[in-house]
Amino acid sequence: MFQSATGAFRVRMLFGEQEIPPCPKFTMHKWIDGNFTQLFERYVETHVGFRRFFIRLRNSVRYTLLYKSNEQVILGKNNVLYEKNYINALYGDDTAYTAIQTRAARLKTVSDTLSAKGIKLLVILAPGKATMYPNEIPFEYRRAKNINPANYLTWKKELAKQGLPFIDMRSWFKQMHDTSSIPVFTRLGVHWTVYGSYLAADSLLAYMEQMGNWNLGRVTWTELERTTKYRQTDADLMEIMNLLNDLPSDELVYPKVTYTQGKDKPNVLAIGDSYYWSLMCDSIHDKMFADSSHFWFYNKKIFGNNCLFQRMVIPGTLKEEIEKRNIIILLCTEPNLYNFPFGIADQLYNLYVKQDK
Amino acid sequence: MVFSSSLFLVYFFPVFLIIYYLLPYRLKNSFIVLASILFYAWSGAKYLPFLLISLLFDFYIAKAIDAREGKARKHVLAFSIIVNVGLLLYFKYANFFMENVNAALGSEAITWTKVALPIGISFFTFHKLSYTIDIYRRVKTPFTSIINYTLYILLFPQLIAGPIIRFNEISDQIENRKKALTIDNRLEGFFRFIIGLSKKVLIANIIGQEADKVFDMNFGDMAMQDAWKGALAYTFQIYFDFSGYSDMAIGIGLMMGFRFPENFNNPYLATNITDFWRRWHMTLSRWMRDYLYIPLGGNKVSTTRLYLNLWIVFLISGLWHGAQWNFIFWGAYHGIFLVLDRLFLKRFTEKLPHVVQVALTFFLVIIGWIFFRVDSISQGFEMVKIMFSTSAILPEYEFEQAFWVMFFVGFLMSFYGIFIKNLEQKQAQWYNPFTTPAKSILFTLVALVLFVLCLAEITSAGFNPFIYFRF
Repeated sequence: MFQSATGAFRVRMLFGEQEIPPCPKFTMHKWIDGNFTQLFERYVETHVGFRRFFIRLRNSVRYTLLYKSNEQVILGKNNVLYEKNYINALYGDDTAYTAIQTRAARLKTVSDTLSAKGIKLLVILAPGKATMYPNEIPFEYRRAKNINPANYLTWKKELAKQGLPFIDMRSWFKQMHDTSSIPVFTRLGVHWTVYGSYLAADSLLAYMEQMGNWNLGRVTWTELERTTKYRQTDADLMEIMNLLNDLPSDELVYPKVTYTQGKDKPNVLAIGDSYYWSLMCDSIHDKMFADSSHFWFYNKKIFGNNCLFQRMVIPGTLKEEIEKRNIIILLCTEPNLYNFPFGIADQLYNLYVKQDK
Repeated sequence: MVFSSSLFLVYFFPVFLIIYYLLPYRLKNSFIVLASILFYAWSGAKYLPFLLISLLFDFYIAKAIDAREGKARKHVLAFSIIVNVGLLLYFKYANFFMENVNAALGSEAITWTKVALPIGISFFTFHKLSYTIDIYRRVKTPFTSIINYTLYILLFPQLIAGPIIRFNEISDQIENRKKALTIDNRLEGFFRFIIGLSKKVLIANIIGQEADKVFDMNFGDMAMQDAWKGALAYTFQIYFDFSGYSDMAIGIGLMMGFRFPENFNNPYLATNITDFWRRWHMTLSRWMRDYLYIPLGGNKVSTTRLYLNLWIVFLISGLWHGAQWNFIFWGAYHGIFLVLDRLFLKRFTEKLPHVVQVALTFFLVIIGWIFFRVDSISQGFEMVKIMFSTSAILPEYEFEQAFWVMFFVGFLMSFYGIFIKNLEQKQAQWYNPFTTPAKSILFTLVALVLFVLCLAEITSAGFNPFIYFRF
């Protein structure tokens, strides 16, 4: 009571903390129907003194004694952390075979139309955490199931069938993860490592250069810093476990990168999920693409080159937005493939093909 | 409001205790009544008028019983019982009755508005019945003060889930407990409360998560190992949850100067089902004995009638737990074993080694809990079938550390006394925090650590960090 009232004794913030609910207003009606008491209890719960410490303590005790994580994270063998949707994607629990076929066909039609306008379209199939660590998935999530990344396989097959340009980073990263001494995925994070993201960036630039006949800048590094102290998103799942002490990290590698500018700076519209973030902020998107380039997060929120949120996507301005670009990059990691490319295939199909008809 | 909530632990109870201890003795009961009304109204404001009106009714009807003799006395008691049981039947069983009538008629022949269940009705109805019946039997005279009467029914530690305290057990304490308002009782109560809170929050809730996982499974996908895990997890969950709640109620009572009756006595050490019911929810068993079994004739009837009465008592006990067929089945199941004990089973099992008796009884109790936990009797049979089906064994199976740790804790706490003679007396001695100063310090430290851990568990509930907070 004292700590919550006075704010005395500063307590370490929590990762992923969401907005704390305000104190509800009392009305007799809300009290009688139970609404007030429910909201008030929630308010009290979130304002208890030392709550942040208590949450870390609880999570640490549960982890140490019971080898249990909080509800958002799945704790696999050897401290390998997962999100449930990555596991579902690996076992094909989220299959959307027919929808993917339709969307791939529409993308092809759209791609042809855009190509006539000089706009290129490139698809990137990004890897997923569960693919990298299939053997550490807890038994209750994997029993009696065979690995079947159905949506990835369908997309790969359909993209090839339609002749759409795509980069299969899933296969490449899986191979690197299994053979390379430098981690491209960590046990404690859900995204590709910082090092992995530079590899992805370099590969993307090389592919784009060939595709658009551009002279693009490059990312290079000569020095690799080895450390067990994670940076950026390399332990993002562990962070939201909100423990008192960090879990031991594997040795990670952080390249000291330099960017060399090319002659061309294409205007890029990237539409994708969180895997694009590491290519975005202070990386190739910021440095190698035109200043007016955009990243549309899940085709909903627009982020500009300075990595700041600009506004929500406005469907009415789609044509204008598309036609000022040189290339549209569609990027997706495995658990989102069921919904890929986040509605843009249908929107562009309706815009360019249906309307023309 | 529940004991294991931040609101109760951090605000309601500390504020209540501070005011309660500061108030002069003559105002203490009134303050408890006020706090109890607030406690009830917090989650049951809708039912408060009903509760208060029914309280007034019983207060005056008890006076009427006391003032009358002979048949008139009996008639007023009968009227009181009909009203109280009638209200319980209406609120708790009307939906169940109508659902079954409609099921029997094969359609939605009768439409009705579903009746909402007032919180704690099963417990406060039993308290009200205990009051009027004890007065009818002249075990006690009725309270002259309506405050004292209201306190007996609404006393917040036992209002929602017991223990069921018979009127004759507590009436003297309500009227005079000055001598019980000691530091020793407050401390003992605090320790007892923390033990109960820990049982509920640190053991029952965690084991319960494992139980829920299994009982929420599609039964078609359930392996033999799952079924056993779920049954065992629920067996420990219900014990630590319910006995934890009772410990908290007893602890709060002690801090207020009341000594409530014990509700559990190492139930899983029972050597037969009859013994189990002497150890499990003891206050309910005693209430059933005093106010149902004895009025039905008790032991002074023919053997056949006695068996029938026993079975009826357990059927009603099952129904009291919930308006579902599986609860009735659970009551009937226990009733059958009680009758079998009287017929031959007890004589037979008593010849077996003590450990085997305990194991056999524990097994029967586990099977019973399955029917208590599932949604339908057929589901219960299905789960029992899986438990004994060799075809349902998964060739590969991993037991999670979380389950094993909590299973071990639950097992240890339930069975550690199996080889100890005079366990009850010894436990009373072990758990007395005041035998030596070192023990008092140890109890205090352990209680504080447990309290912090419980607070950590409780305040963490509902914290769902947003994984993509960075983006």
